[in-house]
Amino acid sequence: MTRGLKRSQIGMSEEMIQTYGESVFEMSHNIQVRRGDAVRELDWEQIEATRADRGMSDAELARQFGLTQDQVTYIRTIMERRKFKRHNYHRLYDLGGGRRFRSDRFIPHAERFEFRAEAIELRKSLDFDPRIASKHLRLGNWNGDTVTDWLDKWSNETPDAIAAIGGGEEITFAQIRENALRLANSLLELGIRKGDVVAIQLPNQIEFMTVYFAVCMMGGVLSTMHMPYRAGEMEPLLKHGSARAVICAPAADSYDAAAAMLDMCTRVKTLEHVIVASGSAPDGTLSLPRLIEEGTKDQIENPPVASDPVILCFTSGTSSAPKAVVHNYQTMLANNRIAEPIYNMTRDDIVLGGPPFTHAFGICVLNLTLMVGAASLLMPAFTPPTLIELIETSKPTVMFVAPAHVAACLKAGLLDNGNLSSVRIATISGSACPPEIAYALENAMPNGSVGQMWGMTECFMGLHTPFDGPADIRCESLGVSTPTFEARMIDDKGSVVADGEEGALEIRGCSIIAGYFNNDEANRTAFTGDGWFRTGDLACRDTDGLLRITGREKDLINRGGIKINPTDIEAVIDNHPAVLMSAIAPVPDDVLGERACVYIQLQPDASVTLEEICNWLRKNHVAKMKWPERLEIVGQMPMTPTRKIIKGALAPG
Amino acid sequence: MTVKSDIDPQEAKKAILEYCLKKGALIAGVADINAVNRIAPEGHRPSDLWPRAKSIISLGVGGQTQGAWAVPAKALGYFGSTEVRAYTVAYGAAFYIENKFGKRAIYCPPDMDTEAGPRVPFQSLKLHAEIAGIGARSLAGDILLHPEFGYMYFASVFTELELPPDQPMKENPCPTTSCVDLFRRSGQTPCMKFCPVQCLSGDIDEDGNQAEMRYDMASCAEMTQQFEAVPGVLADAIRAEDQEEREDLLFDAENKILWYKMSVGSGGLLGQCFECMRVCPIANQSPQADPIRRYETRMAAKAEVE
Repeated sequence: MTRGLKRSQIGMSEEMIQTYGESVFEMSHNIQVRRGDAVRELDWEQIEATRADRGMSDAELARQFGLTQDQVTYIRTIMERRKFKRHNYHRLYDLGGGRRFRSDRFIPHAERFEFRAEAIELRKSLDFDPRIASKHLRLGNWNGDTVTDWLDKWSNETPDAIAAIGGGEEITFAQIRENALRLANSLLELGIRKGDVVAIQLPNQIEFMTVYFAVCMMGGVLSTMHMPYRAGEMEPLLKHGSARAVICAPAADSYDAAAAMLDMCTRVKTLEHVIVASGSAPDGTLSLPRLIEEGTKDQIENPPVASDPVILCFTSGTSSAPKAVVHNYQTMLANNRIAEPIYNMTRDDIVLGGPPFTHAFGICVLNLTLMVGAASLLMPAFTPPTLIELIETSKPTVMFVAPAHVAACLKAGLLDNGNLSSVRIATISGSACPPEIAYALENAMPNGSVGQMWGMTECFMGLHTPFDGPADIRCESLGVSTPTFEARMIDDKGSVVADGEEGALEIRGCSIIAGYFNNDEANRTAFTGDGWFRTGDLACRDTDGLLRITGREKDLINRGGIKINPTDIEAVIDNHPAVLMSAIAPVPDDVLGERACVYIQLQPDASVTLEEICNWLRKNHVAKMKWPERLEIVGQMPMTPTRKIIKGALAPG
Repeated sequence: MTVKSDIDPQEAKKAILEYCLKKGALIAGVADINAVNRIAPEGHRPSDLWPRAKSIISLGVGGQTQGAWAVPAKALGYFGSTEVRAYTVAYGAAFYIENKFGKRAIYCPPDMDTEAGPRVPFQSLKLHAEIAGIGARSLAGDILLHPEFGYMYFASVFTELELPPDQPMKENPCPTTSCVDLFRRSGQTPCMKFCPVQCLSGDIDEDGNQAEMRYDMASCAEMTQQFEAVPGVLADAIRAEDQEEREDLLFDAENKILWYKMSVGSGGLLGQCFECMRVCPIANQSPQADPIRRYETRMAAKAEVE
């Protein structure tokens, strides 16, 4: 429409627009050419000769083209509309304030960074209840910190301080930051983008930390794979996370990781790169040291922010169906900030982390150590002599271990004879800790105190004992919830139980994930509508306010309507001289629904019968209704990397 | 209107130009209307708008402060509104001419010819200024430059009063020596090189003068004429594949600015709806908040004094 007249009134068709459009557009004011300076010089001859070049009016074009002026105006304005590139305006956003347009450096907005569809999908798991998000943001529990911020801080303030000790080497904060930056740029160069998942299967060594920091720098999401995992376990996890790259150890006697990963590339369609932590990478793989060496030190252009996802862990899974846990920097680092005063660590500390970095507990310790600028003392693989020797030679001041670590040292007779005098505080976590284990460690540290911590991949550290409390609190309870966290125990009907009564432990706080990635069923089970996370643990709160874990909900055996908690029974059976470790799990029964079956891994050259076990339980005053009714001997108990028994993998033979 | 018969054209010109300078113009001059009529394209000559016009007064006001050139481009765009000051001076000058000399005058409409769409002005204020000798065409898309005042915004007044015209500038300050040097090295002057849509090109002769100025005004418009974006956004929104994309198109920050700008123009709700003040007892029931009571109070006080 022009001047209020429709196409039919001015005799206009689409064909006419096509015929005359380009000419009208180009010969009107849209393209202007001036030769010389004729107007200023009033050079009339030149002015007339170049009139058309300067851009003709609609009336002039109408006369020249044999169209009406309305037709020219219509065609011109339509062509101006059609040719208008609205998005060119975005170029202004990069200009001014010292920035000028450079055609050779300009990248059109349409060609600029874009998250992959898989990355956007992953971010959907960060679906927090807005009321909960608002609370944590207002209280400052969530802030803008990223891992890179913390690394940069210590790299700037104490560049020469030791960041990590491992494998006979030490590396400073400045060195590890530079290596991580180089690797981050190499990963970007490979085409790995912000938001992409990078899987890692490495032991606790400097290379792991370097990769972790690098992936954090470039905005990737690190997906940790436990060292014992093989293709059968890893493939579904890599697929679930749509991993783009995997970083693994070089081939060892029993396992060629690189070959296994390369083989998986054909089945995991997103997996493009296999990176091996070795100077000589097999064909088809990339060398991690070379990527570090050849990477640039360019500043990362599009670094992550605190709300971005940072790690993708699969729960250590005492059930047989792992769940994908995505933390962003806000949930992950809030836990460290809030819990740090309990540990009172400083940059002078040397922190020995027993748990593997592939586990959330290990990552948590790594972050806590980084946060205070302390040195991480690395233990790539655990054996009792290795642990004790590392403590004696490297003299850590802070230690995080699992009960199994302590128990193994105790059984090996190394705890009493080892020199643990350097240790100021030792935190036991990872699984339920029998009090005698905690006391044993406490007694072995002449200058230190034991504390206990309970946590889960879904929330990191949730309960702590205070290090300045009496030994019985620290060795026999899990203390109280992390500051700003809440804990409650509920019964079958969802009512909060009284102090002293056992119930299902639920917690809520700023480090709890919004939900599992792509697992609606697990989300329905584990998360309440009001921010509580159902941990699956059974616990009770004593009248003194201290919490104790009493078992696992899913381990309860429903024997004809009577719920049997196997945890205490297992502890008694574990003390039988023939038993190395035991686990009680249900077996289906037509009459009672479920009956208890005890699975036992024997001490070397030992044997035991069900009758002997029942006699042992009678002698230890365990009620007959709790006795197992079936015995299975297992050669090797299925264990998680933090040495918890995977009951879901146990089945009667 | 009383026409004054003893008007001295030179004195009148002097008085009018002094008025313009006093009201904020940096420079003013009189353009030869015959020359403008001869050069302007058909439909956009002064005679097309007002055949009785005898003279064109052209004036320029300053553009940006020095500090403005250092701000991000998105902020610099806002400083263009200084052109309104030029229009204000011209508006006053038209009244001044009629009041003082009894000759009809008009403030030349500075905006677009509604029949021709948003890229076609009624008149070329730039042509008026060039012929009046207060600016010369540059390689930057013919933007007028002045050796003393640099970059200005222009406004014009047409009048029946015959005034002696000025001449175009003797010299063109564009290109400068440094611009010529860059052009010799790279084939581009700074304005060409740093244009975000590369809409400028041209040539400089052996003497360092403009030989050719080429201006892709359509590309330039993509940076400055966001009104063109409004129908584009709506059309894209209609075609959007899903709700999410449609929402992004209509409501993302940049596009909401477009709606905001339109709202400013139409006088829509901006800042406050004032419903809170309507129900606020302090706002509307305080003793002197009610204009009627305020008037009554004032009258009562006055009566008491008397």
